[in-house]
Order: sequence, then structure tokens, then C-alpha cells
Amino acid sequence: MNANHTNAGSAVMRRPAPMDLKVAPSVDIYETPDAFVITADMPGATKQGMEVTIEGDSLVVRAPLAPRHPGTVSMLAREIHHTGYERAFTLGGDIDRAGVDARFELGVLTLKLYKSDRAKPREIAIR
Amino acid sequence: MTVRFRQNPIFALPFGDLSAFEREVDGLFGSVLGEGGPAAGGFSPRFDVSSTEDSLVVVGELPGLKKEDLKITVHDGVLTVAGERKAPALPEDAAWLRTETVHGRFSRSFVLPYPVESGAVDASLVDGLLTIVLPKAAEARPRSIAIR
Repeated sequence: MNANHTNAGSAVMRRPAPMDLKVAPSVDIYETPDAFVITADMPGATKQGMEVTIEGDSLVVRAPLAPRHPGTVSMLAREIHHTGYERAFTLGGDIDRAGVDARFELGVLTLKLYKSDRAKPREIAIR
Repeated sequence: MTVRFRQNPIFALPFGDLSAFEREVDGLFGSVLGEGGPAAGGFSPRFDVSSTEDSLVVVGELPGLKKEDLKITVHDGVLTVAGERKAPALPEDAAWLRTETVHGRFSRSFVLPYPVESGAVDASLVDGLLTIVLPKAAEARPRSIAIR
């Protein structure tokens, strides 16, 4: 038997690694005259682990969950199965890519995406 | 290993004609439910319950809640967590484009599998995650028996 066989055998015997299960957080979105505001429920994520990236027209939010059951001897009930959050949004052309505010409070991520000047309502003076 | 998503993570944020359509749809539901904005009721947070050597640990997902919004009681061997998630306020001259989060009152009860020190229960709420640690009562702790 060669080394590869031995490795395969011991991999079967090992406990399976916890599955990587990301869920899309629930979001609310509202629009104001100068911005779009997204709030996303991400309980159990941390500010340190939070990743908000904009690439081209795509805004991506990612966060792993911190381990929750240190020293656990037995799980008695499990309703929380995910290991992290991930969701992508497609940005319209009227969003200022440089001006995004992000805040994480009480397990809720709030993103404020400012509209570019072109997209803001403007009052036109009558000459 | 396959990565599975419970919901489709790729979700377009419509800023064109679609948003006007969605506002109309939201408006329809709003009139049926009696109010607009995020869905009222149906808030039922998820919990995990685990046991360590010396405690029972109950962890719940409560995004947006402050400790004032929660009431935790232990009575007759039953732990109850009750509270309310208030609907978010919409600033003046703003309009909802999408509302997925749920709000309202909830109450979850857990029958404790063994006696706990109800005077020494510890609860913390950090980043939307409630963690309740209930130390096992002396009679429920593992005890090593000396052999004579």
C-alpha cells in the first residue's frame, strides 16, 4: 500500500470538517434624495471579520461567523446552520463608487451609497 | 466540498425602472397588511442550545435588538427569552425599495435538561448574538466517584 492510500484511509476516519455554508443576509433598502441605504441583518458577524468590496458594478458583503460553542460537550438543539454571510449587489451608474459609508452595530450592517451629482434632484432656477 | 447557499447570494439591486415597479408592488402589499414598510410580525429568532462540562449555553440571533428590548426568565425549569424587534424608522423624504427583514414580538421557551443555578445565569448581547450561560446545579455536574 502506498502513502496515498494511507492518507485516504485516515481521511475517512476523521470527523468531517464543518461545512462552509454561507447565507445571504436579509436586507432592507431605502432611497433618499441623495443616497441609497442598505441595512443587512448579520448577527454573529464581527466588524473585524466584515469585508465590503466594490469592484466595477458589484458591491459584495462578506463575513464569517465567530465560533459560538467553545468547550461544547454536546449540541442539544441546532437552528443556526450557517458559517457566514455573503451577498452581492449590482450598482447602477448613478452611485458614487468612492463615497460609501459602512457601519456595523447590533449585528446589523448599514451601507450608505451616495448618488453621483448627476443623479441627485436639482432645482432649476427660472431666469 | 460543495458550497451551498440557502438563498441566491447574487441579488441585483435595481435602480432603474424595476424600482418603480417594486414600489408599486410594495404599495399593494402595504395596503393589504394595513401598513407599508418592512414586514410586520413573523419574527422568530433562531437559537442553538449546547452543553459544556459545567453549563448549558443558549445562543440566539437577535439582530437590531438592544438589551432593553429583551426579557429573560428562568422559572420551573423553563428558560424563556422574549422581546421585540421594532420596525426601522424611514427618514423623511425617503422611500423603501426593498424590505426583507422581519420585526415584531417573539417569545421562545426552552425546557432545561437539568437543574441550573438560576441565581448565577449570565447573559450577553454582542453584535446581534445573545449568549446565555446557565451553570449546572451541583447535583447535575459530573462527579468522579472514588473507589474504595
